[in-house]
Amino acid sequence: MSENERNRQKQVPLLEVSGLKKYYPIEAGISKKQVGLVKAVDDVTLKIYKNEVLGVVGESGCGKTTLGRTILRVIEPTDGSIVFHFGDKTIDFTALNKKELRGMRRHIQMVFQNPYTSLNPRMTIFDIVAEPMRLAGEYTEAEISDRVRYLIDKVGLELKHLNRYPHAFSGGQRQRIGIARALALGPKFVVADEAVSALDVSIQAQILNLMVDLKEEYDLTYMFVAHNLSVVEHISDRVCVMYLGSVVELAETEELFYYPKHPYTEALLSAIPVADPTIKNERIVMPGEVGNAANLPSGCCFHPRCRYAQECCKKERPPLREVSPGHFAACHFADARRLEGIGELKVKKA
Amino acid sequence: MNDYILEVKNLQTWFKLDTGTLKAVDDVTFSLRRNETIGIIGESGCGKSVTAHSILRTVQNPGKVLGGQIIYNNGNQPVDLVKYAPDSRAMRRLRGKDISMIFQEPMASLSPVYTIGAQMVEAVAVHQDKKDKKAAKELCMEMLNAVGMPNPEQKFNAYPHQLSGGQCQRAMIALAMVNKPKILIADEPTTALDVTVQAQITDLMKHFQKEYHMSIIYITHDMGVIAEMADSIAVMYLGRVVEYGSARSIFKNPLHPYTRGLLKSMPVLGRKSAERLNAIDGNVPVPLDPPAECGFCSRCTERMPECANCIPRLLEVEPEHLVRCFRYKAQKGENNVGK
Repeated sequence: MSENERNRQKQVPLLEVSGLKKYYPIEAGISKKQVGLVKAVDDVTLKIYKNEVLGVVGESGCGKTTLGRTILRVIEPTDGSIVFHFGDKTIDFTALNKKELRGMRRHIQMVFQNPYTSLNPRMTIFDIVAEPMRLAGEYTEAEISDRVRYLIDKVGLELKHLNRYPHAFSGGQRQRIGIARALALGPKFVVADEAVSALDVSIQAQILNLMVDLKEEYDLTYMFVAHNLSVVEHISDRVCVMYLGSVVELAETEELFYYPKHPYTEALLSAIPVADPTIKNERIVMPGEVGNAANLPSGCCFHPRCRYAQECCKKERPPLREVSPGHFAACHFADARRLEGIGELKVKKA
Repeated sequence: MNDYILEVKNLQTWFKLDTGTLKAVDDVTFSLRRNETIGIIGESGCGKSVTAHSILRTVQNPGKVLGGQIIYNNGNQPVDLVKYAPDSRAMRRLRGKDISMIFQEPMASLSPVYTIGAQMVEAVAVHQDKKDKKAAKELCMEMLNAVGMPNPEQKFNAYPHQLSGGQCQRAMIALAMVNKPKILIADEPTTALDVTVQAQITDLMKHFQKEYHMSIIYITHDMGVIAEMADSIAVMYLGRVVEYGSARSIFKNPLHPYTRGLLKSMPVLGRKSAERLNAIDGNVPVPLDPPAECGFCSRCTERMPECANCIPRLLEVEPEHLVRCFRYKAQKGENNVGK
């Protein structure tokens, strides 16, 4: 057990999610008869500790965005509980009514993926960043103005930008505006949904650095949803891998990248291109594509693409269990098999 | 016969706008060997896609190829594509036959109102004079099988919206490959896809390269993909090639401050995450009536006084490794200053 893990277990988590589900009905015909269910998020249980970054990775359609939004109740969950622990206050987030939920929103915020569509083109930067404070209704205009100026400076923009409209900014600058808006009410928890995916490499590095600095300064906790594994490895303390709506593996970043316990994680890691022409990546090719969330495979969801699949994988669904302290995996053979992490996958070219 | 199938020399593609001249491509030089892959890397707005469209002569109005040469050598008689009119018969015969292109957003670049099959059969009919529809369809089915399309029979009659992103990209590749081109231009073919699908698609392209002895121009902003795919690399910034050399030498010994910045700014797997990323400060400027200076000088940490006075030239600093930067002094008798 690593030092960090030991410390973590002593703590009360900031957020506890248990049995979270989001199902979408598939309706057909004029009578809207329900003919099926899309299990976008299927029984997710996890904890997020104070001041940590939890990375969530997976292929498109695995439910990582839905998970983030359901936790914030931007999308209402079908089932399950979401509990926040703010100091000694414990808040059952799922039990709040609309009005209470609004009051809570200040503590939890979101940074969106596409900086081109997540800012209102008809509002100035000042109004965009001021809006959360105006909606909260507890601030005077003078306070708001001071706070906006402070935030704009914090995220690395200039005061002269305040009266401009979003179209005048580049992608990286817009993402900075989005971050300033998310921080306006002093949140404790921020969900960053693919916050750097649409940006160029050099700009992406700027935003990642900014997010790390802000986290240190304001004691923030992030849930960082992304599909780029190198970015997730860089920023996260712990990483959660999702496949078809469920968490298949959850562990500390280094542990997960070097000693994966789920075959899906192993295959994902081996698919990452390595920025070194002298290294030959021995790739594990997964056959086929991500399965259909409306028609989940029997047993373990991953078995049709798994290179180790056995008879029992087709029948029985493996639960997410703690294989070693702090390392969770949903695989029948998680203890039995030694899988390859990023240490072994790279072979030097002759 | 020299072994270059395509040589681009001092290419200039400008867009004359009401507000000024947008120099999207301003002095791009590189050459492509047979059976090899050149990677063109750069951030959005650096002119990599316009370069690709210039080669195919499909630049949208008001953009025009105004200078330079694009020498295509298919083994018989080298031709300069810049001399052809974009809509000339000769150019149309090359486009999609000798030189094909696959695009970034597979969903957006296939026609939504025709089936995959119809679009492929059209490409065959235009270039191979296959009046016989059956023979054309057979060829297309063969191609769909070769790209690993699941259920090719059914997908032949499917519309693009019925396919997933990965399947659409496979269909695009099948469409581009159906005439067995000599050069394939791939413009960010995997940017919109997941890593696992990306791995499948890049493997597929390598496979076709071997089988059909094809050269590839691979355009991307992903250093990881380029390291796996490319034999040589051209790094572009603000419409110019700033560094050009073999993939190994560029990754091992990057010379231009921009290339070094790019390599340092991306997170590398296995490197301790506590380290801060070395971001390049500032933003990419817009090349609208750009001043006569090194385009990177506003963001460069190693700038010198002369950088803001004139444009450096692409110089061979090491054997087969060219760089456009004043930090590297010209050999005797050569001039470091560009036009």
